[in-house]
Amino acid sequence: MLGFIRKILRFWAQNQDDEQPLSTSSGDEIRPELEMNLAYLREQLGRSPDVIIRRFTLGGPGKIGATLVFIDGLTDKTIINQDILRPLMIEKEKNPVKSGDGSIIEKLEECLVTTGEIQRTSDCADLIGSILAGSIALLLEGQREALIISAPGWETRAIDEPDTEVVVKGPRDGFVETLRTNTALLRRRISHPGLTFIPLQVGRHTKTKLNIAYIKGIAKDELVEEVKRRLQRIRTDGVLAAGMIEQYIEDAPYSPFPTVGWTERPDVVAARLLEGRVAIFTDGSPVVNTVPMLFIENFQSPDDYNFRPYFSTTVRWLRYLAFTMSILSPPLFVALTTYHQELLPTPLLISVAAAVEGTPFPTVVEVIGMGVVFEILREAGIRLPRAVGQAVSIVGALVIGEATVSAGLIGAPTVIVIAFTAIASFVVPYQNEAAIMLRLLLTILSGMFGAFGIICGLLLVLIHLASLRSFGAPYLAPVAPLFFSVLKDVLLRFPLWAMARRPKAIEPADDRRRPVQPPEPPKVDWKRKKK
Amino acid sequence: MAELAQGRISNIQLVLLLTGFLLGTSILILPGGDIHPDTWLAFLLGCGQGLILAFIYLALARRFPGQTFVKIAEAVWGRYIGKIVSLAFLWYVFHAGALTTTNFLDFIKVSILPSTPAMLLVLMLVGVCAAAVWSGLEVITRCSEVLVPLTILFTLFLALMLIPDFKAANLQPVLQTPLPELLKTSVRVATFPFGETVIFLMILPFLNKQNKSLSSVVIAFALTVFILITGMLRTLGVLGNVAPLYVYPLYQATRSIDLGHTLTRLEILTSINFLTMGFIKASVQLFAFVVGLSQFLGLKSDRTLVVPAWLLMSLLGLYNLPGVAETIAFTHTVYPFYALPFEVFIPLATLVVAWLRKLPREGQQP
Amino acid sequence: MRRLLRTTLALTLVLTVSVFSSIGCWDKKELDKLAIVAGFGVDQVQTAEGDRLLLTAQIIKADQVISPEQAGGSGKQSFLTDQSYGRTVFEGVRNFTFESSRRLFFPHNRVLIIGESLARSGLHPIIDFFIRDPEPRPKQYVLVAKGKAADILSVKTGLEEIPALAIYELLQDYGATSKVYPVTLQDLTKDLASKTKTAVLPMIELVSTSKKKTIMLDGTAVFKSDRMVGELNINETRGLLWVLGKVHSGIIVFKLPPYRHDISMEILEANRQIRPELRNGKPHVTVVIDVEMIIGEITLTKNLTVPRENEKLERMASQGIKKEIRAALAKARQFNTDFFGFGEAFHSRRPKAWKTFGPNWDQIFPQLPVEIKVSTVIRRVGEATKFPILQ
Repeated sequence: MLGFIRKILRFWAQNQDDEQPLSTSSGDEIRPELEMNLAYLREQLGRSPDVIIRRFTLGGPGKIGATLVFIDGLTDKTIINQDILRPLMIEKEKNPVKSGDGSIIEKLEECLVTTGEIQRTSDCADLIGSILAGSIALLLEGQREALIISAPGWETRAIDEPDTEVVVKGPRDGFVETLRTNTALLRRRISHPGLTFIPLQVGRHTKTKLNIAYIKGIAKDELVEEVKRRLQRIRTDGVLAAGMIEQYIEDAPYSPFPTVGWTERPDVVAARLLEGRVAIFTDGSPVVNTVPMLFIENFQSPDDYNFRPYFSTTVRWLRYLAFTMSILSPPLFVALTTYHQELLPTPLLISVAAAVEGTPFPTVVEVIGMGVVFEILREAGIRLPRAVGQAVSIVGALVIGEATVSAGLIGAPTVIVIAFTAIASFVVPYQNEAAIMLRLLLTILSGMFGAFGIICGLLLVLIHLASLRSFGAPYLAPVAPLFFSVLKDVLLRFPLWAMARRPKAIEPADDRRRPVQPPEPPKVDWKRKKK
Repeated sequence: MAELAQGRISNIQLVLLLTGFLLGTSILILPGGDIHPDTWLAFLLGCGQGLILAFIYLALARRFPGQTFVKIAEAVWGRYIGKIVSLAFLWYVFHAGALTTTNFLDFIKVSILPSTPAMLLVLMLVGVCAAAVWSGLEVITRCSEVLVPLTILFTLFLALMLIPDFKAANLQPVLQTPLPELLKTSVRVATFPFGETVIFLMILPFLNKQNKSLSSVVIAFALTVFILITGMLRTLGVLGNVAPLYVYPLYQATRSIDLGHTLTRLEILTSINFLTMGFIKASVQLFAFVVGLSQFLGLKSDRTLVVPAWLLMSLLGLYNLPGVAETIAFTHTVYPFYALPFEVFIPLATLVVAWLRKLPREGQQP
Repeated sequence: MRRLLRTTLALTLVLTVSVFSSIGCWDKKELDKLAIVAGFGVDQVQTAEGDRLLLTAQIIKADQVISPEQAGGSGKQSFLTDQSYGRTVFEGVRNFTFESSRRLFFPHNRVLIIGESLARSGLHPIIDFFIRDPEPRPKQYVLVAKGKAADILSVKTGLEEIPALAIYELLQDYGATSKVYPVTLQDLTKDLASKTKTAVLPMIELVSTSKKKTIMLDGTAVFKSDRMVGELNINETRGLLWVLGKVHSGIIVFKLPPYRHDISMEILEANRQIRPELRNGKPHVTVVIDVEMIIGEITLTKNLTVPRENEKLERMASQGIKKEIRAALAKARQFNTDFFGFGEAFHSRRPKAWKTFGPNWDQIFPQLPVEIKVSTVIRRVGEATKFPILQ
C-alpha cells in the first residue's frame, strides 16, 4: 500500500550526498614534545574560549612540564583543584618521581591523582573525544601517553516526576538527561547480575552514547543482537533525542503507528525488561526506548499493577473505550447525522436536528473544521508560554465554543462531540500519534459512505495493524495471533500472582515468571492464637 | 515460492479463519432457502454432509502435505489434464469470490446506500480484501482472530436482545416437514456454506501442524452451525410465518429489537457482522485465487497478481447477476448443482486416482 | 527530483479535491433537509381523477420542540401536517416533493393511521410499501381512524408536543386498563400473512366538544382477510386481550349480590393457556386463565375481608372476566374471524389433526366449542381491611 511513498522517499534518500570525510583524523599518536601536542590540540579543538589549557609544573625535583586540557562547564572544578592540581603541584614533593623515569605516568596514576575513574591513552583522536565528552586530559613533557581523568561536573536537572506519565500510587522518579544517572536508576530497581548494559555510540558529530539494557536469561539473545545490529546501522550526523533513535530502528517507518515503545519512568523500563524486552538508553534524553512494542502497551499504565485487579480491569476497559471513542466519535457522529438518522433515538434526533437547523456547513465540514481547530488549540497550548497558554484556552473555549454556536455557524452537537473526543484522547496513557490521522481518515470515509465507510476504514486499519511487527513480535499480540495465557493482561487484569507467563509474542528466553503463588493468610486469626 | 503465504497458521487460527469463512455470507443469507420450524435439523444434516466432504479434502491435503490443490492436480492427473482440472477449480474459486462480492453489494445497495454508484462500492469492498491479501495469509488469519470472536459476541447479544419478542409458538410444529424436503434443504446447506471448505485446499498446506487439522475443522463446523441455528431460531421466533417473505430475514428480525426505547435500532450490528465476515470470506477466496493462479502460471511473485485479481473480481461481482432476486434464486436453486462438481466430484476423483496410482510415490516428495 | 515532488503534490491535491467534492453526493442526507415524520395517515378519497389515496404526514418541527419561545412566540405548533395525493402510497410519498422542500423521512414514524373507509375496502394495496421500503420501522403502531386519518393527525393534543408521539405513548400504556390492543406493523404483517388468524387493529377517534378537539382510543377494528368487517367495543377488546394473554393490569368493576354497591378490583397478574384438544375427533379449545387480584375500592360498609366473602368476590371477578371473553367470542363467531389464533394453536400443537380439518377452518370456527376456565385469587386487600369511614 505504501509502496509509492516508499519509492519517493528512497529517491530522495539516494540524492543525498554520501559519506563526508571525517574532520578529525584518527591514528595520530601522542608525541613526547608537550608543545607539539598542545599545538595539535589547539588546531583540532579551535580557539574556543571554553577549551581550557592549564600549564603547570609538577612539584618536586625534575620540574617536568605538564598541562591539563578540559572543557569548561563539563568538568567538576573542585575535583580539578583538590584531586589533580593540588597533589601534582604540592604533594608530589613528598612522593618524588624522577624525570626520565619511563613509568612516571603510571606513578601519577597510581599514587597521586585521587579520582575514581582514570585511564591512559596514546591516541590523539581518543584524547580529543574524551575531552569533548567531558573528561580532563593530563599531558606530560616527554611522555607518549596521556592520562584521561573522568570528572564530569555539568549542570543537570534534578530527578523529577515526568509530566507525561503521572501515576497515583507509583514511584515518583523519572529519568533525566544524563545517561549514567538513568542507568543507575534502573540498576537501583533491578539488582540482578543478569542486568547488562551494552555501550554504543551513534552520530558522526554528536557521538551520542547509547546503552542497550537487558536482563540476561530473560531477554532472548537474538533480540539483543538484532537491536545492536539496527543501532549500529545508524549513519547520521547527529542523534539528539531518543525519539530520533526510534525512527532509525523502526520496523515500519511508513506506518502511523509507533513500533518502538518509550517511557520516562524507571519502573516501567524495569517492568518491561522483566518481561523480556530490551531497553535503549540515549544520552541527553530522559526518554528510554523499549522494544519490541505491542499495540496493547499503549493502554498499560504502571498504576494498573499497583492497584488491585478489579479496579485496574475497569480502568483498562475505560481506556479501551476512550481510545475507541476518541477515534470513532467524530466519524460516527457524521455517519449518524447525515446517513443513518434512523439509528438515533427519536428524542435525540429531534434535539440534534433542532441544533443543526440553519447552520451553513455540511456536518462533515463542521466536524473536520472543529477537529482542526481543536488540534490548533492543543498545539498552541503546548508551545505557548504557560501564562499565555491559559489565555489561549480561555479564548478557545469561549470564542470557539460559545460564539460560533450562538452565531449559528456550527451546531452545538458538533462542539460537544469534538470536546468529548478531545478529552477521550487524553485518557490513553501513551498518547497515540496515530489517533489524529485515523480520526481524519475515518471522518472523510464516513462523510462519503456513512457507516459502511467507517467499517471499510476500520478493516483497513485492522489489516495494517495485523501486518505490523515490532522486532519480530506481532503487533496485535496477544489478540491476533491469539495467546490465551497472555490474555490475562489484556481482557482482564488478572492478579499478579496469576500471571505466570511472560508475553509470548516477545518470545523471552524464559517465559515463566517464578515463583508465582497467591497470598496465603493463615486460616486462624494469628493474633488470637497467641493468647 | 509464495510471498503471500509466508508464516504458518496454527490450529486455533484455522478454526477462526474457517468459521469466519463459513459464516461469510450465510450469516446474512440464511442457507437452505427455507425457514420453517425444522430448518435447524436441515442445518445439522447439512453440516454432517459437509463434514463428510471435509474428510475428503483433509485426506487429500494429508496425502500431499505442503501442496496446494493446483500442485496436487498436476501430480495426480498429469500435466495436461491436471492443468484443465486446476483451471476449472480456479474458476470456481474466482466465481465464488465474485458471488460473495455480489451478495455484499446487494445488501449494501438495498439496505444501506441505495444511490451510491455500485462500481465504487464494489471496488472498495474488494479493495479492502485485496489489501488483506496483499499483506498475506497471516494477516487474513489475524484479522479473523479479531473479527470472529466479535461476531460471535454480537450474535449472542442480538439473540439475547430479541428474547422479549421471541414467541416459542412460532417454532412449532416440530418435525412436520416431509423427509425428502428436509434432505433437499440439507443438501443445499451442505453445498453452501459447508462444502465451500474445498477452497481451503489452497490454505491447508500452510498449516504448521497438519495432523491436527481435522479437529480444527470439526470445531469450526460446530461453531458455524451453532451460530446459524441461533440466528435461524431467533429469526423464526420473532418473525414467525412472515420470515420467508423478507430478502434478509436475519436482518429484518433484528430491526424489531426495542428494549425500553433505549436499546433499539441495533440492526447495524447485523450489518457489521455481515460486512466483517464477508470480508474474511472474500479475502480467503481472493487469496486462494491469486496463489492458485500464480502457481498455475508458474509465476515467481504472486503479489503482482493481487491488483489484476482485485479488478477482475470486482467486475465479475458487479455484472455476474442482474439483481437481488436472481442472486437469491441462484444461491438456492442453481448453486447446489453448479457447486457439485467442484465440491464433490473433482476432489473425490482426485483422491481416488491418487489412491489408485499410489501417489505420492516415495522420493517424489517435493 | 523536483518533477517527482510536483507530481506528488498535484496527485495529493487532486485526491483531496475529489474527496471533498464527492462529499455531498449520493446517499448523504443532511439533517436540515429532512422532514421527520412522526405520524402518517392514509385515506381513500374521491377526486376529479377518480379514487385517490390521501396521504397525511405529521412532521416534527425540531426547533419548535426544543425552544418554542426562541423561534417566534409560543402560539406556533411544533408540528406540521402536510398532505399529498397518489394512486399508490409510493407515488403519493414522492408527490410530497411538489410542495415540501424536504424529503419525508420515515424511520421515526411512530403511528400509521388508516382511514376507516380504506380499511373497509382492504389493506393489501397500501401495506406493502411499509413492509418493503427500508425506512419504516416494524415496531410502529397501526391504527384505524373512525372517520378520516387526516383529521386525527391535524389535531393538537394535551401535554405532548407531537400528537403522533402522544398516540404512541397512549398505546404503550394500554396496560393501565388493558382495554386497548396495540398492534405493531410487524404484528399486522404476521396476521395478514397467516392463513387462519385474522387481523385486528385499535381504533382512534376524534372527539369534538364545544371548546376543543381531542383524540381518543376507542375499541378495536376486526378484519377478515384484509378488509375491516366490524368493531369490538372496549370491554370486548379486553375479552380479546385475556385470550391473547396481553392483559397486564386493569380494573374490573362489579356488584356483589345482594348489595348494590360497586366493587373495583385491580388485576395484578394474569396468565393464560390455550389448550387445543380433540374431543371425539372434533376440535375443542379450552382457555384457562389465572388471575391475581387486589381489592382496589369498596363502596359498602360491610367487612368483606373474611375468607367466605373473599371467595365470593373471587367468583364474581371470574364471572366478570368470563363475560368479557364471551362477548369477544360472540363477535368472533358473528364475523367468522379467528382473531384469537385458535387455528394457529391447533396448527402448532396438533399438527397431524390440523392437516385434516385445517383447510376447512372457516367452516369449523363458528361452531368451535370454547371452554373458558377462570380462577381468580385475591392476594391483598389494599391498606384498609374495612370501609373506613363508618367505623
